[in-house]
Amino acid sequence: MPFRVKILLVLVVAAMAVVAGMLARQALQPGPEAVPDASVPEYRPAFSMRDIDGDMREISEWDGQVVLLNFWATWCPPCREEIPLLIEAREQLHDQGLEVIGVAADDIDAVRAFARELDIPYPLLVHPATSLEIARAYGESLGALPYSVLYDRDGRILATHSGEMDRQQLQAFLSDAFDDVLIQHKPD
Amino acid sequence: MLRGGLLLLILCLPAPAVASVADWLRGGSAGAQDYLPVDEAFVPQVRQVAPDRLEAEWHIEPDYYLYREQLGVDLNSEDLLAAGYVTVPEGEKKTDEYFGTSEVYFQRLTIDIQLPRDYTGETLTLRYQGCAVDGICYAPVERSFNSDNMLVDAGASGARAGSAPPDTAQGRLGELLGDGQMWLIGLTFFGLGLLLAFTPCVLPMVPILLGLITGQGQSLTTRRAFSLSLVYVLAMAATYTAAGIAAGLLGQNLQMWMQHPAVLIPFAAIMVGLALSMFGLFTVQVPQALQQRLTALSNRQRGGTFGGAATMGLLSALIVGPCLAAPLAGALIYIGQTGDAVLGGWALLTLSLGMGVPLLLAGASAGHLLPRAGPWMAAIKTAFGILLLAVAVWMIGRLVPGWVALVLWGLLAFITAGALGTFTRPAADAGILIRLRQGLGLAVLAWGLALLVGGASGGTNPWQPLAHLALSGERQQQALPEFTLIQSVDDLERELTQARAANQPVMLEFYADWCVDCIRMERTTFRDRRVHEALAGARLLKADVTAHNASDRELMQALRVLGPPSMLFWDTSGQEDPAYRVMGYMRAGAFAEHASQALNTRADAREF
Repeated sequence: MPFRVKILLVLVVAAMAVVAGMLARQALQPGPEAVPDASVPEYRPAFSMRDIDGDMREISEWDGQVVLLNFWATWCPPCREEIPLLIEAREQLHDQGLEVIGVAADDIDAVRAFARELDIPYPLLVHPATSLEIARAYGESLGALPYSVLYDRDGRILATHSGEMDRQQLQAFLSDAFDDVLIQHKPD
Repeated sequence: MLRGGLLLLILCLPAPAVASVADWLRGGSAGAQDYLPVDEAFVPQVRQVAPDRLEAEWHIEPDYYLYREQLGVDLNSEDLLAAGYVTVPEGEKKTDEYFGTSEVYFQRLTIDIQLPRDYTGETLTLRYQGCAVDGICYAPVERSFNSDNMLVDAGASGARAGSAPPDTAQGRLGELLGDGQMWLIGLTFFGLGLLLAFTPCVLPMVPILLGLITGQGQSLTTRRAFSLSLVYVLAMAATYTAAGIAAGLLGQNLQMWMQHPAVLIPFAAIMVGLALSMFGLFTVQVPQALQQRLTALSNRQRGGTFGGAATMGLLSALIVGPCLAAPLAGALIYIGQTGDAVLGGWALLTLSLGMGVPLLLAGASAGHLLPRAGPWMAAIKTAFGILLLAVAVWMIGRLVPGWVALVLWGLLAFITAGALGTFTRPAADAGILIRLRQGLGLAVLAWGLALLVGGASGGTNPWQPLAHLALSGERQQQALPEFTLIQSVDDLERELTQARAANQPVMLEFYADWCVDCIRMERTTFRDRRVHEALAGARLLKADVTAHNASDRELMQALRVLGPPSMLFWDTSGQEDPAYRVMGYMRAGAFAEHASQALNTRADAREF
């Protein structure tokens, strides 16, 4: 066999191998179907957790109200700073159907003490580890607190927010469920 | 003019509007939500600085901080921080109206971990927790390190340039010798040296060299001829060892650059050039003028004396012949890449001793033991060419995607097959050796084909180039098992009753389109052969809770299921054991094992 023919033969065999490999890849790989991002579900996932009195509660108990779920912890300073604002909002909008539910990633004793100090009027659910998992199920993606979710009377999620909210942000957050909310400063 | 107008406009705007514009400029309301994921806010790294000392360092993004109180350091779940092995610097004071004063770290935190014993690759776990200045706190995280993802200071293992005392260098040698790696490296380079000695420009020179060393015309005892050869070889080895150490040190100081494509690519190109020279396309050697001068100097040495032999040995290493230049350059560049001076010295010492073997043989036997020079020496030269190409692919392989490296290895296999004569029609009277060689070439060719197919189809493992195809092929063949869809508590009751009547265990999967882990389960776990086997015979139910409507919620509440993906198991007697519930994603292997246990426990129990 002349030298040039040999080279040609080698190249043809190599090219065939490459083409065969590419075909195999195409045939075997699943299509470019995108896996959806971990994102906020359309409806609130169900869960149950003990409250600060030790009673097991189902999140469905509050179905039929507009719910602001606030994931927080006492070891998280911005979470604590936000809570007085949540208390105010709940006070003003409770009649219009708003309920705030705190879900604390914390020890029950720490939460009890803090709740007593601030006189938190809304339900508080507590579990050191599960709370973060549930936050995740509700679309939290940073592994961070505070995280707030607002859902309507049908459980449809309207808005989510990572991080502490100031007054304006909380108003904007609630405006998805309540028109023209203005959380006023309480006259002292 | 325009600017003035803009200013006027802003001044005329009502105050709240200005405030919100200012807010927006500060990144206030809009930007506040753009927090970093925890692994970008705090980037930990662990470095081994001495055999028994580690250093953990966090790079902390501006405006993020870590709490001192929340730090933890575990070695194989032994709490080192509590045991007092860890030195933590003082942090900045941060006052919190609820918790009081706490210490925090901004920008950078470095802690020193003095281990109770030498580090041998155990898992080191860092626990930490921090917040962003404006409004978010991360949940406590744990990140684990072991020798795979830990940085190691050159000094930690004792080979740091110059500054290392000799005993640490010995320690390093001992360490390499201890795990057998050094013997392997030494043996490899010794073999390479031996091969080099049988290349066409070395072997024919051996008798002449022997004459030069021993002093021509003199009659000596074999013993003296051997001793003189030995002195010559050792002197030559000394020069090469020095070169190896130098290359290692140079590489060590240039370590950072040695990983840079701008360095790796030219070096790889040089390797290819050197390889081509070994294939006989051109010759690489020390400049003629220099070579002649060195030769003259060497010739002036008096043969027959030990001093003369030693000087000749030292010089000979510098007179690098055309066959040696390319492989030596290759070896030195390789050593430079490793940046290891001890390794470099050791490698070149063994290499040069290997090269010296024929001369020692000649000295000891007055030339009788030497193989005869012949065309077979050209094959050795070609082998070195292929070896140099392999080094080039090795260097480039770290830069390019895995499949490209695989294709390159495949091409190298083709070249090797060609060199082994696979593409040459053997003469009718070809000996058994030639036919064996061609057979070997065919094997290499087949491997090369596998590499090319593997590379072109996206494989990355040169030892198992087609493994990824086999795997995905197997996975692809398995369809999703047959699930019966249920939508309500009533559906579930009905299915469970039927299953009990049929003496069938049941698995129920909660699924939703918006649930990433559910989709992962469906794409991987539920398509795995092992899972199919584990689920065989069970009644498979699926509750699709994508809509999350009233009956979905009712079903989840009835079973106290948090959300999808959740897998529940009922045994043949219709009992659900909550201990076997799976929440969240599970890999195929673990799931198969879990499912077969969950579905078979009661059945097993009944058998006993």
